[in-house]
Formats: sequence, structure tokens, C-alpha cells
Amino acid sequence: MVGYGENGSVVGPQNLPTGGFSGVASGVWSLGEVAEASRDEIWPQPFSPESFVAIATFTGSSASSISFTSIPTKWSTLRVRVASNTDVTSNQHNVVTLNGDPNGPFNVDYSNAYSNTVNLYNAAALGTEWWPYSGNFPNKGSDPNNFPNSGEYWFPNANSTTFYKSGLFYGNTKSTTTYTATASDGGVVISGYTAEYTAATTTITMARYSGNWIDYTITLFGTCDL
Amino acid sequence: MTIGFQVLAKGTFTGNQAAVVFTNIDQSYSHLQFEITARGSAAQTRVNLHMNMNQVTTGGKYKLLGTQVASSSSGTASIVNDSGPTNDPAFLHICGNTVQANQLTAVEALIPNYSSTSFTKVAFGKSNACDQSGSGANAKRRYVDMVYEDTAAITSISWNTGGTGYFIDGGSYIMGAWK
Repeated sequence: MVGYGENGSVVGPQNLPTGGFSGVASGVWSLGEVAEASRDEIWPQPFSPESFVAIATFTGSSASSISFTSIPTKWSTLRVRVASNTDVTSNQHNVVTLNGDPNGPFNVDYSNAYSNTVNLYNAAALGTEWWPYSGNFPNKGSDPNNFPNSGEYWFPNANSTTFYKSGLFYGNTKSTTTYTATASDGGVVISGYTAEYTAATTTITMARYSGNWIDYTITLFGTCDL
Repeated sequence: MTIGFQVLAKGTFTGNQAAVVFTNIDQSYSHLQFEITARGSAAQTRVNLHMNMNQVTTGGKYKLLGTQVASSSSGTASIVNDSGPTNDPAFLHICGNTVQANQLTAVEALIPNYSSTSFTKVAFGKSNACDQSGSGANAKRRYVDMVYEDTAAITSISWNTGGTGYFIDGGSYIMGAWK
């Protein structure tokens, strides 16, 4: 037994902590062991559900689709940020489906502003668009390593069970250093969409309409829980 | 001190609210960010969504520059760059109650440097199409820059329908801040 102000050995069976928001560290711990566990990221973290939190990330050299599944419905807002090249020069659309329904009632319209002049390619407001979230993103350039296009899909109100799911995409498709006043120059893409169902979004699947993502990082973020 | 994004207030619209007012806003952050999903009760396609800094509802302090993009069923581009409405806190759009059922509009706004007492306040906001299943006239995305010509720190903000109806119950709002 040691007294106040004295340091003593911790005795008893070994305790192994688990990290993360749901981690636990039972038993008696010396400050040194706590510091070491924190350094090794195996010490429990305070849960802050109202923060801007990265939920999951896909990275790799090549993939034609990825899927975020079992998304907790505590997040009211979801965002998917994508940085990637691609290996195709046409049909660069990303086919984004919610809750695994490729033929679901999705509606999308998008605009692609390109070049150094005021040009705009605008797609129709489609009633039953089967690639529910389109846009020329990303786009392969002459040297794709120099053009890792990026963008963000924004899904507010994702956990609602009352209303349709409505959101926005914005990103870039810059694929060349030239400006020829044609869509192939690449440029800003903005897109609106509506998924016409009221179920909470628990799965987001992102597949290439053609080709693959190359050297991609795709991260799902969650914000808040109402 | 927590670095990053924190939600300061959140909720859902209930009881035919015509406004949600955030008061005594914590001044220790750098930027404010709002995320709102809403639908107006008015029997029209779109309803102006007002953002009142420090609850100033009228006057010449609000200057807006907006870009509105619409898609038509034929794929024809329709883009409107306009300056207005100026002198008016009508910031973005939400869908009214004549668009398809269950449709909400998604709104996001950022107010950097809101606690400054030296500079005029600026805000950037965007709202998505009101009804993409309808005609192009309904499918509009709006991107707006707002200048609020006042150097006072922003301590309260009202989001409201400008007296045109109220928010349909069930929409949601978040006020967060970045540090």
C-alpha cells in the first residue's frame, strides 16, 4: 500500500483496453500505461456524435465499385468525398444508388461548366434516371496522374423516414490544360438529385458507369444525430 | 479546446414554425455553417428563404449576387446571373407546397469570420432543385453570395419564410461551427 503522493506498482491481471468511441479500459491503470495506450490509439475516446466524423474510407489502385453498408442512422447528414482518376475517356458517370435499388425512382439534373469561356452543358431533368447521380466525374485526361479530380456528394436528412432524399453534388472534371471551349476541357460539375423514397439511407453504392476508379480515396462522413 | 466541426444547435421544424432563431451564438469559433432541409407551406413552387443577420429584417445592409441554374426537359441550359434581390435578406429558395409530396429542399450556408467586429460579413449558400421530377422550371439549383454590410459580430440569426407561410413539420436544421 502506498500513500498520497507516492507512486506504487499496479498489481493484478493484465487489462487490455479497446480504443474508439465504444472502447473500454477497465481495472486500474498507471498514467504511463494510459499514455502508452493513447499513443497506440487503443485508449477509449470520448464519443462526440455531433462532430464531423469520417465513418469509412475506401482506397486503392483500381475499383469499379464500392459500397458503404450498414450506415448508422444516427447521422442526419452524410457526405461522400471522392478523389480519383479514371481509366476511361467517355461515359465517366458515377452510378450512385441508395439502399441498393439500381432501378429506384431517382431524379437528377446536372450542369457542367467548362473552359475559360462561359459554356454550360446541361442535362435534362430526368424522371426515372437509372444512374441516379451522374456527371462527368472524374474524367481521364492526357496525363491522368496530373488530374486527380475531386468532388463531394452531399446527402442531408439521410436518416429521415418521412421525406424524400434530396441533395447536391459539386466537383471538378478538369482533364486538360487546354481551353478549347468544348466539354472535354473539363470544368466544374454541379448536380442536384432527388431519391424518391422515404426510408433512411443505410447503404450508398458508387459504381462506375464504365471503367474504373484509379488511385482513389473515397470517404464517407457523418454529421450530427438528431 | 476542440478543433474541428461542432454542432451548436439542431432540431426539427414542428408546430408550423415560420422561423428558427439562433440566439446567443458562441463567439469562440471561426466560421458558422448551417444545414437545413425544409419545405414551405405556401401553395407555390418556391418560397424565398430569408436569413436575417442579428435579426435585421429590412434595409440596405443585404447585398446578394446569385446564380441560378435550371435544367429543362430538353436538356437546354438555363442559367441566370442576377444581382438580386438586393437590399433584401431573401437568401435562398426552398420548395413550396405545390411540388411533389415528400420533397424537401436541401440548403447549406457558410458564414466565415462571423464573430469579427472589424469586417463586413459575407456568406455563401446553396440550395438544390425544388422538384427534379417536374418541369425544368422547378429543377433549380441556386448559389448565392451575400454581403451583410455591418461590422458587428453576428450573435443571432433567424432563418424564416419572410412572412410567406411556414416550414412544413419534419424538416430539420443544424447550426454548426468550425474552430
